[in-house]
Amino acid sequence: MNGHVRQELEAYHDGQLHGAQQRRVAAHLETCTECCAALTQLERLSTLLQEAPAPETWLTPERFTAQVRLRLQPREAPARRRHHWVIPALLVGAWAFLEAVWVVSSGLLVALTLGLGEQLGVTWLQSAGGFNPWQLPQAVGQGWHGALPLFSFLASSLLSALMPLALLGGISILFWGWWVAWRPHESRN
Amino acid sequence: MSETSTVAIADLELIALAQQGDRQAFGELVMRYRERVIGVVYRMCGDSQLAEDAAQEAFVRAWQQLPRYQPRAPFQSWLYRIALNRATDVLRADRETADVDDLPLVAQELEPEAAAERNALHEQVQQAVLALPEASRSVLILREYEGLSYKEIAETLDIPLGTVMSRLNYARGRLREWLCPLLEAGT
Ligand SMILES: [Zn+2]
Repeated sequence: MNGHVRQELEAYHDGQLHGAQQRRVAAHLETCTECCAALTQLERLSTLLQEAPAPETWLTPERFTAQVRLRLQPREAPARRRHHWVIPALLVGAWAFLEAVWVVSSGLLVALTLGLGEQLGVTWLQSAGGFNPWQLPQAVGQGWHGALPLFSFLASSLLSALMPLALLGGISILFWGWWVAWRPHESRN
Repeated sequence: MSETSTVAIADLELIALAQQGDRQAFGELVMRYRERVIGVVYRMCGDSQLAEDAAQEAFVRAWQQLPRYQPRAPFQSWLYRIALNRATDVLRADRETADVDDLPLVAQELEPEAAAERNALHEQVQQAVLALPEASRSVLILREYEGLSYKEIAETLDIPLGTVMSRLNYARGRLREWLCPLLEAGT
């Protein structure tokens, strides 16, 4: 006997050996009664275990399944549904921010145009024109102030009015886009 | 997807639908795996009524955990793992509330002699399986009753392949020892 195969016998019995390993065990079993007896024991044990009856079930498969289904909690689709409010909230926030900026900057624009800058203490805006995007058109206007005051005034007013409108339009388009994409998930289930 | 043309639909599709909250698709999965899940729990706890309840609970849990399931792992292994955890819970609860002695012994009714003898034999085998430590019992059950490969068992229980083999070897060693007379008789 060229060494027993007790180590591999169980894996052999379970059909977990392949190729050369499997052939080696099979060859050994043909010549070794000891290992053969051990294999027979394994086989008998498996038979004995598998002869044990299946569990009795009280419920039909349909009834079983129906009872399970009754106990299922409605489920939110993963991630998307749980955070469904994030996108509209951001859009509404952006819209409110733009509205606020628009109101303030329109007020300032009117004040500056009427020459009330000094009284309001916002003269620095006229020279700096940096921090507020709505002042950009005005800053552009400032450069031409001497030569074409009327044109400068019209251009800056027009730009000041159009830019917020364009941004608000963009926000509404995004909002409707989200609504259209989200609705089908809402009505599901 | 409301039509019951689900028979031909692959598990993966049903799983994807169920992950999105489709109860009907999940119901189909329950139908498909019901027997196997009940079987595993039954072999673990030895009580079919308890097993049926626990299997239902396992499916309810599977539904809750389904959004986190990733199809990289076999669905069956994933489900078996939930079922085995559930079986462990049942066993723990049972140990706390009942005496170990009167645990799984089902009432023996009057039966013809041969049948009674047969039942006594099965009872003896079942008691031996139930006497194994849970860790090696679950490996034995997945191998002997569910026919899983070593690799599948390792995946199901999340243990190394070597551990599967050593637990299986231990379980069989103990059973051979305890059931020696039955094995020698060569039924
Ligand atoms: Zn040998």
